[in-house]
Amino acid sequence: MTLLEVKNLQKIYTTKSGANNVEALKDVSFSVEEGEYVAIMGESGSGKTTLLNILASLDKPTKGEIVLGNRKTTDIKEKDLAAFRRENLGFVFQDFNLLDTFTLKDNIFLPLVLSGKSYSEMEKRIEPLAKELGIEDLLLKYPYEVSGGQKQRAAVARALITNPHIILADEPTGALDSKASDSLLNLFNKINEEGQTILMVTHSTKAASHAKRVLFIKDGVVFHQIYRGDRTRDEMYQQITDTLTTLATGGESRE
Amino acid sequence: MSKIAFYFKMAWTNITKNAKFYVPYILTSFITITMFYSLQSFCNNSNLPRSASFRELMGFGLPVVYIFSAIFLFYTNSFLIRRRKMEFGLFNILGMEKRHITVLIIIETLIIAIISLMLGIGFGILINKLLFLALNRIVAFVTPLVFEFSMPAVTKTVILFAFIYIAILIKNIVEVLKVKPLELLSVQKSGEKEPKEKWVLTVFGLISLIAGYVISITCEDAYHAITLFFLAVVLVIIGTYCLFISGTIAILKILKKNKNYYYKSNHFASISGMLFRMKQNGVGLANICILSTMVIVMIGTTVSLYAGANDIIKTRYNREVSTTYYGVIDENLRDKAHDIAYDVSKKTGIEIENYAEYETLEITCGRKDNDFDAGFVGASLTTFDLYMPEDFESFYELKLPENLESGVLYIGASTFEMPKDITLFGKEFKVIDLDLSKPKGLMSVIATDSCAIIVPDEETYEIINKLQKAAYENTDGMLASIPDIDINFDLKCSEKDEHKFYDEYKEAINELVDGTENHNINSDLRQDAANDFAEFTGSFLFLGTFLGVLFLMATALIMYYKQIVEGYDDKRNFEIMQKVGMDKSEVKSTIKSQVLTLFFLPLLVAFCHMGFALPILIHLLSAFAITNIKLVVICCAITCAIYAIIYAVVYSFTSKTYYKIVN
Repeated sequence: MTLLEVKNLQKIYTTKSGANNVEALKDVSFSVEEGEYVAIMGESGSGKTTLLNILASLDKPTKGEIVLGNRKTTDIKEKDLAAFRRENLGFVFQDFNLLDTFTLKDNIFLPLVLSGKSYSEMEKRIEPLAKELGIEDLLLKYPYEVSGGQKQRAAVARALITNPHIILADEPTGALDSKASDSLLNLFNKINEEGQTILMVTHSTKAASHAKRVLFIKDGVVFHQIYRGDRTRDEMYQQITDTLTTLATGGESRE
Repeated sequence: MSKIAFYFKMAWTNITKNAKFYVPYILTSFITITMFYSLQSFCNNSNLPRSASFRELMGFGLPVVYIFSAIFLFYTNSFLIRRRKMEFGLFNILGMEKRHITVLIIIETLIIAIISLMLGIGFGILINKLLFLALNRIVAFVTPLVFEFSMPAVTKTVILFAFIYIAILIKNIVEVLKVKPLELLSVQKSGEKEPKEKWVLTVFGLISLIAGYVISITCEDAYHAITLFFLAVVLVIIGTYCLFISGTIAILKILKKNKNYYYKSNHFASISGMLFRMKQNGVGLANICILSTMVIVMIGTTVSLYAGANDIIKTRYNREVSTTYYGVIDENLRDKAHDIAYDVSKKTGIEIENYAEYETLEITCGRKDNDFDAGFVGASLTTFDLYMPEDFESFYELKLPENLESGVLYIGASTFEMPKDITLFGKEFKVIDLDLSKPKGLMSVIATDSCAIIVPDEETYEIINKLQKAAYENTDGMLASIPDIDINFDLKCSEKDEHKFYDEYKEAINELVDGTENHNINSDLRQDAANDFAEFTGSFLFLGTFLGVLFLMATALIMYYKQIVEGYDDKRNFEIMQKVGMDKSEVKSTIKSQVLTLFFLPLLVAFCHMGFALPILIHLLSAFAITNIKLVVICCAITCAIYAIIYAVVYSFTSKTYYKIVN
């Protein structure tokens, strides 16, 4: 079943004077099936962050539409957007975006508190989640007291606790060392195997090699895609590297 | 030389680059300096009417303002240094040694201090001058208030503030040198640790606050009010700081422990946010509270004084001319005084009306329960005025009951609860209250506990007179009282012509005491006294309003500063919360709940302080002859109400700024 459908997305940034128009996304279309794990790759400036922001409904496209489940997110009214985001999307950011004023536990509770859930309900939900993510002993610590990897796990817990339709991850390994990255990516695989749909934007080949499908974006269009199929992770890694090389050398010349 | 120049250049760049934070800091320090300088120059201005009592009153204010300035500057500095630490860490990593950083901090502080002092004192001089001009125009004093530039005030301000800046400097250097460069780089991120409850501080603050309140509530007379007022103020200030710092933390912790309250969208972010930087918040709120209290007290009391002035004049002088002869010069003094008045009347052709005279014996003694005796150690000061019945009747134009019993003391009026039986200088007396409605002109300018006693006959009068003479002869350094003669009358002419009579009259009565010892005459013309008093209360009103407005400005500034600084602190938090799914209206309501709780708490506490300060203020005002308690209460209540409105306006303005920053 198709969970997310992106149709002919275009985004043009206009400078204040209107003189300079930058086309960040030209024409992007793809769809994500339920339970899929998709990585979107591209160089800096390829438009992947713009795409993620539009998917996260933090930004509006100039043209095109997005359907999540059976709702057109591009039509949702401004005042309902926050609630929609909270209930249907889970976010994992490169710089964690944890609040220093909250303990990890309270950080994880934040979306539930905003949705007005009762405390007992929150407690019920966090228990198995914390165990699965291996952060049970850290729940009462503050973000500045734990390591980057632990922060990111807490951020994943915050994204998962609302049981979202889809997890949107923006360079989740970007600020982590290789050990913490591996551990986080294994965690993503694990939750994906349990049925969680994940859409990840990254330029790390290693991170992308964990996904079931990799989309390549270049100059605002989906340039290419690779399905993992029966490939091992190493084979997938090689395939991605080859594609990236082709992307970089072929077509228009690039640095 | 060039090295120093380099440091100066670098320090200057640092300050201008961080203008966002330095401008409010300089603004606050310059306003506190303006405040202190203004007060100090009032103290040194010998041209103000009744400058002695002014100075005495301002003498209370100065240390309070100074302590306040120090706390306030430390508080604003703590925001600043937290931000700057990261920068210093970077300098350190880039190769600056700690001693270089120390020099840099010293020079920065020097620049800030010089700018603030110049601005503060300059603005202080300007605002003083302008306000004097404005006031003279509005109130039109008989003798205009003279603006005086005071060099000693400038010197004193510079020296005292130099101390504060040096203390801040030392604190900053110690703080910056203590941390390692890596820590310096990350301090801003780590923020403060969540504070622990501080029970010792809470208990200490509570004791201090209660002690201050108790001093006010138990204050019995103007003498105690004047001597203890400063102590009470200091105790309450200490209590306020301690309780705001520790109490708010305790309350927030309790709220946080209540899971069902804490995990609600409008409380969640605000409680944790407040708790997170409560140490600074506590000081900030206490600052606002203390300043608010100062504004209310200052304006409330001066308005009371001004409003009560007319009242005082009317009751103090029940006739147009009042003359008191201290000490009965000879047996025929009453007749002589009478003749002088009527001779002048004949000479000037101005008729005398309502002529009244009486003899009174004013004795002062110390009270211990029902025992009234000479000597005041450990006793409360009490004054008795003894009257003969016929004098009392004619002077106050009323009728006393007949058959007053010899040997009994009858109360004509009293400012305190007189016991039924008293021991006066060792002899027991029965006391009966005549329950008269207080006669006009009686005991209107008496500060201490006092009682007008009607003595039934000559015999009783003489007994008491002899007792007090004997008692005071045995007490070192004290003089026994001698009777006074009071002559009061009205004049049948226009106010303008009154002076024609009065000038001659005064000359004539002065001849009477020329060359005698221990005798004195005090004579007042009602209209002169009224003008005099209006001038006095008017300049007090001016002073109170002036300082009130100054403090109000400081309050508004702190609130503004607090909002800006916290706005920058919270900006990231609100961004994250919006990413996670908080919408704009929720952001707004969170801010509202946070700011509302924090802002109106100090106002409520300030009102509470004001309420408890009322007793001591009433006694203090009684030293200036304001005895109309109802009037004082009303004036203070109105001041509170107006202040609350201004406060709300400042609040809404500053919270808008906050909202703009975080969004």
